Amino acid sequence: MTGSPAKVRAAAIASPGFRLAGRSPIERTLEELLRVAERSLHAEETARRGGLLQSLDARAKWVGYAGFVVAAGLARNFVVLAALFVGAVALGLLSRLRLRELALRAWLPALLFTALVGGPALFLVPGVPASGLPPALGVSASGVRSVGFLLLRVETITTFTLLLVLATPWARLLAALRALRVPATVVVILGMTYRFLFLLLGSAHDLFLARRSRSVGKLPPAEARKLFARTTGVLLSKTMATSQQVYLAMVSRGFSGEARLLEPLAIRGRDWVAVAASVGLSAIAIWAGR
Amino acid sequence: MNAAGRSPGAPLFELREVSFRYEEIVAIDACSLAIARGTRVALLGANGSGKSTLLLLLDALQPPSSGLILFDGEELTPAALADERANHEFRRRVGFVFQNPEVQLFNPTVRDEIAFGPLQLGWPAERIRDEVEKMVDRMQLRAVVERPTFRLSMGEKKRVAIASVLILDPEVILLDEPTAGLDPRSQSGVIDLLEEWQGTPRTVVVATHDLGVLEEIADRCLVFQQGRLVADRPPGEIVRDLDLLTRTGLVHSHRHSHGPGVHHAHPHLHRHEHGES
Repeated sequence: MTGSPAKVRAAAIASPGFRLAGRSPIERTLEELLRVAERSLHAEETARRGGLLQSLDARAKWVGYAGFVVAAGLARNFVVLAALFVGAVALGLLSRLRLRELALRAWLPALLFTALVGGPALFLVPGVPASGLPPALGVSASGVRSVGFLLLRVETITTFTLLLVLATPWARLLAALRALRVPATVVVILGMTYRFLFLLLGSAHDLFLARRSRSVGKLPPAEARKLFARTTGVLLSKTMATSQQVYLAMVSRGFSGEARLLEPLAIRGRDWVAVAASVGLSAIAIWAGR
Repeated sequence: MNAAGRSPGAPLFELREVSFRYEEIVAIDACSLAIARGTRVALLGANGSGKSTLLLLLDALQPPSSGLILFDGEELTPAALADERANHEFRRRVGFVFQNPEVQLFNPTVRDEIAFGPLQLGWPAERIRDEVEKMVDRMQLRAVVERPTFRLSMGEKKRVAIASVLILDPEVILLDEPTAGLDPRSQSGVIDLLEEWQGTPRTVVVATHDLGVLEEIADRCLVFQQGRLVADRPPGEIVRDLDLLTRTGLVHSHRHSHGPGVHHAHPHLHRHEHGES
C-alpha cells in the first residue's frame, strides 16, 4: 500500500474487513455518540433550509407537536395511527428533510428500541396463532397486533420529535418554551444539557483514548470492569467541575436564565393557520382513534 | 454600578482582607489590594497560588468567604448584582476571558458565540449585527465565522473567546492564562493585543506564568503564593528578583543545555546550577 499516511488510513477504514481493533464496546459506543452529537449540529443546518416547518414560528411548532404527540399516544385505531405517521413523513418532505435522514435518525433507532422492549410480547401475549406463521413459533395474532401498535406509535412520535428538532434552531426552541411559560429553570437545564453534551462526549472519548494509550495488552474482565467504573467516576467529577465553569462563563457575559434571540419570535398569519390546522387535525385524530 | 460621580483617583477595584476557601482549602488568604483605573496588572504565581480564584472574585462569579470587594466604590455582592440592571451594567463594564476556551464557547457557531454577550445585555439587533461583523474582521475570524466552535484550532478558539468578550468593549478585561496552550504565532497575537491596550483607559488584569512577556503586558505585578499576596512591584523588578521567583515556584534550578538550533517561543528565565548553556 502506497500514499500518504492519511490516505493509507482512509483506505484501511474503507476496506470491507476493517474493524476498530483494540477498542472496547464502551469506546465504540462513545464514538457512536460523538457522531450523533456531530449530527445534532447538522440539525442547525437543516433548521436553516427553506421548508414548510422552517418557515413557522417555534411556538406554533411546539403547539402542533404537542397536539400530534397526544393524538398518537391516545390512538387505538391502526388506520388513524398510520395516517398520523404518513402525515409526519409528508411534513418532513415538505420541510426539505430527506427520507434517508428520517430513516437513519428516527425510524431505525426506534425500530431497534421497540424490538428490544416489545419483542417478547410477540410470544407472551396469549391468543390464536398468527396467520401465515408456523404455530410452533408461538407467535399470537394479538401479540403481533400489540407489537405493531407499539412500533407504529413509537415511530410516529419519534418522527414528529425529529421534525421539531431538525426544523428549528435549538436556541429558538428554548426561547419558544419560555414564551409558552415553561419555567426558566427547566429551560436553563435543557440549554445547559445541549451545550454541555459535546464537551462531555469529547472528554469521555479523550479519557478512554488516554487510558488505552497507556494500556498494554488486554485486561481480565474483572479488572476492565473496575477500570471502567473508576474512569466513569473521574468523568463524572470532571463533568461537574466543567459544567460549573461553563455556567460561570455564561453568567460572566450577562446570562440570567433567559434564552435571547437575535431574530425575535414573531407570530404571523401563517403561524395561526398552522396552529389551527394542527389543533383541529389532532382533535379529529383523537376522536377517530378512540 | 454606575460610573457617574466617582472621583477620578479612586481605585476601580479594592479588596479589603478578602479570603476565599474551597471547603478546607484556602485559595485566597486575607488579601488587600487596590487596582487603579487604566492600569495593566499581572497576577503571577505557581499553579494553585490563587490567581484564577482572584479573577473569579473580581468578576463577581464567586462571593468571597470573608472580606470586602469594592468595584468603582460600591461593594460587589450577590445581592447588589441580583438587580438585572446593575448586573448588566457590571457585565458590560467587566469582561472575563477564561483559561480554557472550551468552557467559554457553547454556541453553535462562531457568529452566535460572539453575539451571545450583547444579546444577553439586550442590545438592539441591528447594533449586534454591526458589532459582530466588526469584531470578526478585527480578530481575523472571517474564514471561520459560520463554523461550529468545537471544530476550531486552539488558537482560533482563544481568539473567538477574546472576541466574545471584546465585543462588549469592557472597561476592565480579566484574562486567565491567555497564552497557555497556544503555538508561538497565536501567543504573539494575544501579546500584541495586550500591548495595544497600553496607555488606553482600559484596565487589564492578567493571570500568567509567562515571565518572558511580563514587562510587555503589565505595568504592575502581583505575586501570589498559596493564596497570599507576597509581592507587589513593577514587572522589571520582579523578573530580576530570582530569590522571590524561586521561592514562589516560578523558576526552578535544573540542569540542561541549549543545543544548536534550539529556539524558545519567547524570552525565558532559567536558573542554572549545573551544566552549561
